Amino acid sequence: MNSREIVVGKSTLETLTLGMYKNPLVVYREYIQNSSDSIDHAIKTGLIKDNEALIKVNVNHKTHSISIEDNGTGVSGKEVYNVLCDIGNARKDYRTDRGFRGIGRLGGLAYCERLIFKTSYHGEDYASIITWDGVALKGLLRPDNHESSSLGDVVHKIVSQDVAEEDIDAHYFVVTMQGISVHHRGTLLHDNDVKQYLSEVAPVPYDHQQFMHALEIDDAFKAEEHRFDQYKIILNDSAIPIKKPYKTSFITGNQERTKQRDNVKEIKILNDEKGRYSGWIAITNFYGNIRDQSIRGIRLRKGNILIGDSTTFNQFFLAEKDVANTWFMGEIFIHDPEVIPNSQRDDFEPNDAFISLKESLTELAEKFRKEYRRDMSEYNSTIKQFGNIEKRLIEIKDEIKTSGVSSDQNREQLLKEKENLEKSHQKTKQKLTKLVEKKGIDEDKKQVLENIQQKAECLEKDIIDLENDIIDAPYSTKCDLPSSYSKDVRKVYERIIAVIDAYFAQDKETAKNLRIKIIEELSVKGKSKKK
Amino acid sequence: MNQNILLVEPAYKNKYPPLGLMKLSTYHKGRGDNVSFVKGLVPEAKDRIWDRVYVSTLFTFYFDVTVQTIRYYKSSVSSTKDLYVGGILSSLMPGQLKEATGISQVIEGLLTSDKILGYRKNVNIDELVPDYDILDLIDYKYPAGDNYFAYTTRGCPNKCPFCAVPKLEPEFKTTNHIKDQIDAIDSLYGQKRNLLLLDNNVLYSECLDHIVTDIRDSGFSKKASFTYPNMLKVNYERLKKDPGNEMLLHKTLAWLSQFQRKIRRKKDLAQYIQIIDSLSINLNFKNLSAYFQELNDLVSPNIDKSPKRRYVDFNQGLDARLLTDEKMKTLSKIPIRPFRIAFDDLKDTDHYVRAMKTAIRYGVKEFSNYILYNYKDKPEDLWHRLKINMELREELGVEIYSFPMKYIPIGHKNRDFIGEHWNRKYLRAIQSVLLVKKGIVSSRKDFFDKAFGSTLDEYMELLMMPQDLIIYRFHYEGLGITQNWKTLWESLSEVESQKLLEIISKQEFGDKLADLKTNPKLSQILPFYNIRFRSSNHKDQSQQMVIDELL
Repeated sequence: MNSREIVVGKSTLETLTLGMYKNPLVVYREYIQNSSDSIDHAIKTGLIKDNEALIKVNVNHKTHSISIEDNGTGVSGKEVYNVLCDIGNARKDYRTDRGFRGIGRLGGLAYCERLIFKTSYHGEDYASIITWDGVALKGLLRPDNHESSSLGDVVHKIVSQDVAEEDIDAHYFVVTMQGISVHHRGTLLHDNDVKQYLSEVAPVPYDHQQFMHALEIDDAFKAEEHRFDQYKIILNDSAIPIKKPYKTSFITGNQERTKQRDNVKEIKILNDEKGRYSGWIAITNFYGNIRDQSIRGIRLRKGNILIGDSTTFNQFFLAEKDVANTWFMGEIFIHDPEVIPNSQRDDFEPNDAFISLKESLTELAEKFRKEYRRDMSEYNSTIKQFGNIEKRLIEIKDEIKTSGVSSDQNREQLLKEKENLEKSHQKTKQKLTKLVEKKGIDEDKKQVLENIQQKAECLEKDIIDLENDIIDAPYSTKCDLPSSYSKDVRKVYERIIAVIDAYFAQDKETAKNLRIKIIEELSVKGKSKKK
Repeated sequence: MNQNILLVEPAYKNKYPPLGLMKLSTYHKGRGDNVSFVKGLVPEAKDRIWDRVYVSTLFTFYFDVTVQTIRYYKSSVSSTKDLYVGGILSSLMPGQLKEATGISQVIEGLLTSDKILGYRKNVNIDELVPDYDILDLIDYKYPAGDNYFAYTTRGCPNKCPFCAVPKLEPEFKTTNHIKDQIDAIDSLYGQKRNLLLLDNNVLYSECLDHIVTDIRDSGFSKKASFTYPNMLKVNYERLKKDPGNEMLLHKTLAWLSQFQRKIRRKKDLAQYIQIIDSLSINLNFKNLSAYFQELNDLVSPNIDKSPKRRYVDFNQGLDARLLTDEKMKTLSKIPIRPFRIAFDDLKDTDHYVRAMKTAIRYGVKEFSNYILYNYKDKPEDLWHRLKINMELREELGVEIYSFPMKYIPIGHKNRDFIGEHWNRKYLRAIQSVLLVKKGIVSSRKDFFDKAFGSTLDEYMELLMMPQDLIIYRFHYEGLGITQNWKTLWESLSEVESQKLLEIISKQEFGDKLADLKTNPKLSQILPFYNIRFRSSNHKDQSQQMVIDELL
């Protein structure tokens, strides 16, 4: 083996800090992730109680700074330098801890001038302060700067350590990003964006007031071996902690035309038989895709932190990938310790565990798609179709009643249209029969369908009546010719009379006389021949 | 004024011609109307406006095709009031037919007066001579088309709940004018060979003696023989009185073309063909008259003059309970063949056997008996009744063909009815056995043992056997597949075989049964029910079609 020491170049840092995340808001996730891990340890060791756990996020527009503070265990003075300055060497267990790579905590460096970690450990009467100098880092990383070339060198140059007095019982960890860069102030310091982001991504509780089924979900998983954790996160000292955006009532349809209010009717709790995941999906009327992007889509969470976004689950649908998921609302909590989020946390590492999970989730997604999305889509379209047929039948009926049938051609047309309506009616009927049996159709809808089925039976009679009406509708020229003439000859006759009527529109007397003459001439088939 | 009349029979495959329409044809021709006849949906006929359209109906399980046909011709009349529907289905379920078609002229029962059709002469159309000529207007050939069709009584005093006769012909009465009926047909259409009588229960008539005598005197004595008439001559005589009858002219030409293969001498044949060719180019009575003598000289010597036996067939069967020695003695004056006695219920065994023996004593040698199943009977009842027939045959040395008739309730719109003790699998098994024999079961012991099992256990096993193993019996027995199936079947417990029956009864044709992982024995036997015989040769393909239809 080669004994030469391997040099890790400084540009490695660049990839970690400047190039790691597409969305700057991700830094919030990274710090909250670390905070929640730390709180878990604190609860486990009895340092704090469940309900005392708190994560405070402060966004300061005046000083352009952000701080995220938790009352977890903190990091002890002995370890602090290594824990906070080693790169990619977290002493965390990837199996239990949310953050485990030890790289996320530097994410903030990309967006600020100084990144300050301040922490105190229970039993230590001081606090450790580690400051990373983002400005200096950028200077050192410039390609024309040859001052330092190894990673270690650079870290030594930009990191400073300090100590401050602290209460011996205090335990906390604060990360402060100072001097948020001009480019990123719009996003990182935008209260609403941050709130929105945290509500979707962070491990926060449901809003029990807006989301009626929250209690049901909480109860379902409380007793579970794989409970999922919820943390109290306060933004800017607000009285109301951050909550997940789920709500009972929402709008479907992206356009005004398709807009419809839908609501969660029940919650279906999901439990993988192998315990790899659990979760829920909302059973709604499935009128269409959910408009509110913060709640739409089945979402994947690990440690109750969102992996990817509202579209990450799309991959499990075999068809209609991008559409299908927008019809659903739900969460899948991944418990399988071997299923690991990738470093971007926008998907999972494609290992064996994930591949096996993928199979199971695909099956699940397909089941949902078929039972709910497709069935409901069919349900809604069938009802609409039925309405259209019904409407058109009434229209034709009225038409005949008020203006009769104007010519045999018109009669043929109407019969043709009636035939087409009848065909689509038969199709609709078949669809209805199939739909009633579908799993995705609940009792209420079944009732609706059964009512329509009854109506459909009546409609059949209406169609027959209409058929009679069309055939029996009095029409001026219908009885002009003896029955021995074929339909073709009749049609020609119709057209001739139609032309005459149009030509002599101002002189109806002449038109009438001409017609009488023609009728006389044609009254006996072949008469003129004998002449 | 002359009217244009269209007669329509829906396109189901039926054995007997539409007598109602044939009589309507006679009626309308008598009025001087032009009559056309079609079977099924014919665009050329739809594409005209007729003064009247009549659609006949038959069994209620043909409901859908009947409705379709009626609606197809609805727009071929000026007003829906000019379309009439009549016949068996019309009489049994007029309300539903009216509703499904929008036609109000749905006639119930017999056309005993033309007033029902809005005419005023008060003619009993039911008693008119059927017009056989219209049968030549369509390509479809009725298997039993060329017979006398007549009746001597209407109705039946028995009100068997499974039978439609009480609804169709509620009153029993003797109407006998068989002599006139046969005479009229003879003079109009030439002699027919056999007599099909549509009486429902002729033995109940107090005039049985009279009826039988009339039948005998109309050319159906036991020794009566029959030679086929020269239809050229018969038709020519008719045309002389009615030279403008185009339908008859065409019919004559069609008969002549058919007769071509009977011309024995080559020289004659050439001449014959020449005449037919020129006739067909310019078909009219004048032309036919010109050629008549020449043609007749070619036809006459080639007519089959060998005498044929003629038979009387009481097609609806004879009532075993009423077949006394005395009545049998009367019946024995006429050549009844086949002799039909219904064996509808195993409880009737005593009556049935006694009646059979009575008939045999009077020399009857050939029976063809209806056996109702899928009604209130149990599946094993069918086997017992077939076995009785087999034993009677062995004992008395006569031939007994059994006609198992599957019960379908009156008013049922399709054929998928399952009787209370039956299930779909059993019904299919019976139909599979019948399929091989075209519905008729010989009572020969070897056949019976093979087809239905020599013991009740074998029969019950047969009912469970996969369908294609029944139909292609020798093929699968040869391959050893049948034996494999039997071994597995015999190893099943009572509960398991019940479960198996449950599963296979639900099987639709073409369905593959899924593996039943929960029970290894069942999962072994289920694949046998997925076996589908596929043959490359055409003969079997047509049989395959029959099977497809059967399912």
